Amino acid sequence: MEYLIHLTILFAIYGILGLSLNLVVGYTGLLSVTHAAFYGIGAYATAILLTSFGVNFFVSVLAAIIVSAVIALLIGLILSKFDDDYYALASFGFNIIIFSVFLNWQELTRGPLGIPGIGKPSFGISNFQFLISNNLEFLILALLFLGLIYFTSRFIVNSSFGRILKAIREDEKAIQIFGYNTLYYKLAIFVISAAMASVAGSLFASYITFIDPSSFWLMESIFILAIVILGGLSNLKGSLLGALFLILLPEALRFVGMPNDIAAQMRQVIYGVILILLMLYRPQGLAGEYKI
Amino acid sequence: MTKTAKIIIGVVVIVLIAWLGYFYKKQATQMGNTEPIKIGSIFALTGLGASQGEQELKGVQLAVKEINEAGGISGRQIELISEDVSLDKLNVAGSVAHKLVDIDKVMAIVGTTWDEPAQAILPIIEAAKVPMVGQNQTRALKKDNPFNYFFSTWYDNEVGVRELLSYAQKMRLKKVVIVRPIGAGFYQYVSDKISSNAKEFGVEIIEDINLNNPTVNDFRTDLAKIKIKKPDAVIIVLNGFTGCPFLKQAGEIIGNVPVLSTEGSGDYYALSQCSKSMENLYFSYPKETSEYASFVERYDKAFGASPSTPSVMTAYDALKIIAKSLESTNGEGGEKLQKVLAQTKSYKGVSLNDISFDELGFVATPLDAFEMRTVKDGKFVKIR
Repeated sequence: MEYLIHLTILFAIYGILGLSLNLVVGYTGLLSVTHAAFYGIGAYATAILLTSFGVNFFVSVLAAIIVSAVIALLIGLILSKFDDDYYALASFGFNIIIFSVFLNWQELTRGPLGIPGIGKPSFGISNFQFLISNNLEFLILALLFLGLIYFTSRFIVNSSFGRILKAIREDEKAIQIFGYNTLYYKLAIFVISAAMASVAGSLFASYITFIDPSSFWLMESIFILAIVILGGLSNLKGSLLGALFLILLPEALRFVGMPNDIAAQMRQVIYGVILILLMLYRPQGLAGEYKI
Repeated sequence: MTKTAKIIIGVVVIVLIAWLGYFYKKQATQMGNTEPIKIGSIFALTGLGASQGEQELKGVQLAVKEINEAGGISGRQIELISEDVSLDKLNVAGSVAHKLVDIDKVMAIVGTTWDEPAQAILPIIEAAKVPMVGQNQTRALKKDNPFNYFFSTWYDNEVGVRELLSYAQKMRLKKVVIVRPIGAGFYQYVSDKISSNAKEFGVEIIEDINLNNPTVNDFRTDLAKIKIKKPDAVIIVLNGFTGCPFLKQAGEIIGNVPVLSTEGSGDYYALSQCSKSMENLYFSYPKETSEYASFVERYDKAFGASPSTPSVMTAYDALKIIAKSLESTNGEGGEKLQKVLAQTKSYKGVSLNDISFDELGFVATPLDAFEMRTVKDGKFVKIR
């Protein structure tokens, strides 16, 4: 049961990451490879505030959102100067910069030693205090956050703001002719997406109780992008499906009987083959409508 | 027969079958459970750290093979369930630990490769009361969060560092440059130990260089900076893969300035690739125990190669200590096994002649456990 609860918590965390990145990549058409950076900023903000200052988890989430949003605003202003492939490359570069900060600003982040002993969430008013003491309670909290992010994302994409984003994806020049300042919309969705990713980071830090820079390297951004593409661009339920699939697939492969000597390597091969086959026969993703 | 009667008979039959099944299983347990004892292993087998993790798994597999051939634990064979977690996959570390503990119901775990995945797993094994014996975890692991179900057969790195600095003192290498590879907590931890102990041995660190990019294989810029400083020696924590590029480039740029390092540089893979460059390398390495030669022979016979890193030996010892403890508890795990492991004293291992866990579960490493080595004529030799 604990195993299933653990996997569901991971699904909630990666579901938030998939939903938030889909707003940028799927709905707006901006190929961003910097999501792990904001995920990491959220995680580190929570880790530092909880371990060094004893701040409440929920306050740390708020702080993480603010920090992430501010940094996303600065990065977004620079990224907005680029288009298409150059945008992707520039976002790639920002992920590396943020990772380097995590790794080298040792006075703040402890560098490669990471930050252990991150506490669990607690909340309370006056004499009533509730501490999340087991994984089931953490799961409920994670699912609540997932629900919040999902409905927020749905609200965004169904609003007039969301329609502009889709129009930017289809033909940015055309929407500019109608007088829309596309820079503002692109920047806004980038910041919103980053803020959501930081929530996932806060949950991750508190759940695993230890973070280090290696969890927020470029490969993590690519993994999150894979969730979005596999699930289906421009489809929120697709992001959740993508997260579910990419969390459960490697776990399912653990139960396929193979000799110890080659099991790990063969699982990687099978995992890769399945992904390739999916992209060959379902290039629009599990629930998507169009290809990248 | 009425419907009610049929239902009652059906329920009675089901209860009887269930009771018989329980009774049979209980009998089997009392007569001597012949089910295998499951032990989990978690190493980096793919991705970051795989070159080391694969070796460590082989050390554990050899231990399992020997124990099973000798009759197992209390007549029960060991079933090793091996899982893969690379250094940069903390979420996978959690999944794997939960799977081993909750689904496979292992009695104990050996692993992980380095500190990072272990740090993520400790709360899980502590809550599940499944002991874990690590084979290369540094003392930084428990410092912030004491865990009672974690033990480590790895040496105290500070002892190796002090041996290295003692050598520097003897050789009058007073001014050194320390180069810090970055990317894993282990390098940071050992480098910090070198910095903090240097003064005691009269060694002055004239420059402290961070290799900020964890994937760097080109050290020329940093070596050029080192050349300007004119140090007596360079100290760097190397491993089997960074060793050769660094030593080759050091030979080209700083010439005969000695390079001092720790046990990770005493790697047979590196020796096969750049033994000539390694003749300017001087590193501290655990002394061979009385069991070492025999172990190398058995390992070579099983895998056709020599163990290339000390953590192969510590992994082997970790499994053997778990097996010995399970023998004492008659195959029972949990709190009972944890208590027996905690009392491990004077175990004659391959890695150390005397393995005794201290109150934190680490090995009390004797101050003379390390010696200095270098390379001559393509072989590792002890420096006298």
